[in-house]
Amino acid sequence: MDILTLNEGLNRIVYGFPMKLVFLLVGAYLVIFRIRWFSAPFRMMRVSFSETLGAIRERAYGFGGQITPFQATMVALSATIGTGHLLGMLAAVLLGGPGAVFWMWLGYFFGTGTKFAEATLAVHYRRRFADGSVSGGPMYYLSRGLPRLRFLGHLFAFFAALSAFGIGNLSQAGAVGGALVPLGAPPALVGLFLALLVGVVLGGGIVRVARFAQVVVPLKLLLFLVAVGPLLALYGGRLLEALALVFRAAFSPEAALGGAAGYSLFAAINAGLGRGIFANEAGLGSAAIAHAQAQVDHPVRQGFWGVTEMFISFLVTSLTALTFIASGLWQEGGSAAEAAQALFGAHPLGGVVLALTVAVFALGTMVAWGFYGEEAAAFLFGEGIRWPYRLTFATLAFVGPLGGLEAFLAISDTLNGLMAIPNLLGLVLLGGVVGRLVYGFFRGEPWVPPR
Amino acid sequence: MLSGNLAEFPFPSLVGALMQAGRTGRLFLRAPFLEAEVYLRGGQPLHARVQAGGRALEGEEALDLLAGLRRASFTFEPEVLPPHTTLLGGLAVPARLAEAQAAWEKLNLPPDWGYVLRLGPGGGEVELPPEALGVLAQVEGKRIAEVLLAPGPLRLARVLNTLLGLGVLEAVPELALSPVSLLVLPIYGPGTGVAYVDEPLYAEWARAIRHGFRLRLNPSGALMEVRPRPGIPGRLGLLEEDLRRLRLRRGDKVEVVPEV
Repeated sequence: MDILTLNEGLNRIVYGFPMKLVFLLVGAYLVIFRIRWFSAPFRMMRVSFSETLGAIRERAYGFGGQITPFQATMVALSATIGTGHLLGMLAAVLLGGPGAVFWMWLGYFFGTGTKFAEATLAVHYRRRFADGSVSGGPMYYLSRGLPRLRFLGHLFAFFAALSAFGIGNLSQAGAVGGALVPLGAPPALVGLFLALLVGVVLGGGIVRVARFAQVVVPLKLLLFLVAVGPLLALYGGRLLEALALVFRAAFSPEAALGGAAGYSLFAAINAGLGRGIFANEAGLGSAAIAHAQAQVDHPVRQGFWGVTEMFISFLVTSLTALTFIASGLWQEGGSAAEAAQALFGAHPLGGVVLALTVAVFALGTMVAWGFYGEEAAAFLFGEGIRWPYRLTFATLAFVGPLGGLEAFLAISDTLNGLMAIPNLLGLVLLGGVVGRLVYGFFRGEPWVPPR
Repeated sequence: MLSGNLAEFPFPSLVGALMQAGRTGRLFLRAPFLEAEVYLRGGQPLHARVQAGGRALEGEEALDLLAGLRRASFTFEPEVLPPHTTLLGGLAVPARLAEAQAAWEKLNLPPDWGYVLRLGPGGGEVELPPEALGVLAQVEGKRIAEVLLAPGPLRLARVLNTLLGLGVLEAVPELALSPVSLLVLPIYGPGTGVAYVDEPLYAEWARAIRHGFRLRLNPSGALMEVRPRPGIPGRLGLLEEDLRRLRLRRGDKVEVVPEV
C-alpha cells in the first residue's frame, strides 16, 4: 500500500461520519455534564454577553501581558472564518440539501461546549515565560494536564505543525491565487506578495499577528456583508421560506424536497454536521493556540470568547446558507465554485466581490495558521525553530498560487483531521478540570494556575 | 555616634545604659509628628524636651511621655551640653522612668502616635466620668501625639486608653493616598459589599496604611470591603449583586480611594 492510498483511507476515517458523531458527542458531554449550559441558561447567556460583547469597549485593555482577550479572539477568528464559510457552506447545501443547515446548527450548538473547553484549558495550562510571553494550546493542556499521556500533546503538535503548511498555507495561498489570477494578477506576483506579507506579520510574533488579525477580521466581516448584503436584499422576501425549508428538510428531506431531488436524511446529517464541525474548527484544537495568548484573570472568561468566536462563525455560515437556499440555485446542482459564480452573478459587483472576499478570507486564515504551526513547532523543537519555520511557511506561501504539491496537500488535510483525535480525547479526560474551573468562576473564586 | 530605634531598644533601657556609661551628650529622638531630646552630663539626665507642632513638654513630664514611646529613631550626639536644666538628676530619674514604664505597660495605645483620633462607629450608650468627657470633647481629629503633649501625659494616656477601649474613640492612620481610576470587572459569585483589586495595588495600599481599610467608590460614594485578587491590574472586581446595586457595568471607569 503506497502512502497516498494509506492517506486516502485515513482521510475517510478522520472526516467520516463516525468521527463527526464523536465530535458531536464530545461537545454534548461538555455542554451538558461539564459546563452545564442548561443549569442556568439565561444566566449563562447573560454572562456570556457581558464577558464578550459587553467587554468590547475594553478591547484595548488587557490584564497586562501581550495581547487582549479580544485580540486573541480576532486571531482565532482570522483562522476560523475562511473559504469554508463560503464555498464549503455552498458545498454542504449542494450535498445535503437545505436540511443540512439544521444539522450544521446542531454541530455549532454542541461545538460551543468544545470551543469553550478548549479556550478555557488553553489558558489554564499555558506556560508563562520569563519575558512575559505565553504559549498554550492543546499540546500544552494535553502534556501538562495528562502527564501520563504526554505523548498526546506531542502528537497534536506534530499534526498541527505539518498541517499548517498544507491546509493553513498552500491551500489558502492557492485560494488567493485562484481568486486573484482571473482578475489579471500574475500567480508569481500573488505568491511574492503573500510570502512577504506572511513573513513580515509572523516575524513580529503574536503581537503583530494580533494587530493584523484585528484589522483583517473586521475587513472579512465587512467584505462578507458587502458580498451578501445585496443578495439578502434581492432574496429577502424568500428568507422565511428558506428557513422553513431548512426545518422541514432536516428530518424528512424526501418529503420536503421530493424524492427525485435525491437528498437523503443521512446526506443532510453528514453534510450539515461536517460544516457544523469543521467550519468553526471546534474540536480540532487549533483556535485554542490563539486563545491561550489572551491575558485574562480567569480561564473561563476566555472560554466565553470561544463561544463568541463560534457565534460569529455561525452567523457567517448561516447567512451564506440561507441566501443560497433563498436564491433557489441549490436545486441546480453542480460544484461549489459553479454555485458561487451563479449566486454572485446576481451581485451588482459581480464575481469581483466574491474573488476579493475569498482572497481576504484565505489571507487571514493563512497568517493565523502560520502562528499556530509555529507554536506547535516551538513546542516540539524549542524556540530555535521559530525563524526556520517562518521562512519555510513564507516560501510555501509563494509556491501556493503557482499550484502543484497536491499530494502534500492531501496528506496535510488528513493531518489536520488527525489533530482532532488527541484533542478530543484530552477534552473528555480533562472535562472535570473544565467543570471545576466553571464552578469556581461562578463562586467568585480566583484562578489558581497549575504548577 | 550611637543610633537606632526604640522598637529595638526601649527608651528606659536606653537612658539607663547611657547613665551607666556616664555619657555626656544629646539623645535626639524622632517619631512621626514628634521630636524629643534628652541631655546628659556625666551620666546624669539634666534636660528633657518633647515637641509636636506648636506644643512642648519639658522635664519629668517629658520623660513620662517618652517612656511610652514605642517607635522612634534615635541618635546620640556626644559632648553636646544642655541649654538649661529641667531635671534634678540623681536616682529620681531612673525611678521616675521605671514608674512611667510600669504605667505605660498597662495601657494599650496604638504604637504609632501619628494616628488620628475620631469618634468610634459604635452606637451603644456608655457612661463616662467628667474627666473623660472633657478629653473627649477636645480630641476629635487630633493626633495621639498632639493629645498627649499636654500637662499630665500619663493621665491623658489613661483616659485615651479608656475611651479607645470602650470604642468611644478610634485611632486611625491619616491617609494621603490619591484616588486610583479602575475599570469595573464583574466577579460572578455570591455575596455583596466586597471589592477586589489587583494584589500589587492592595499590597501598596496596605504598606502605606498599615491598618485595616475599606474602599470608597466615586462618584457613587459607596464604601466597600476590599480584598486582593491576582491578575486584575487596572480593574476593580465587583460582585454581580453590587453591580446591580450601584448601577455599574463592565468596563465603567470608577475612581477608588482607600479609607480607614
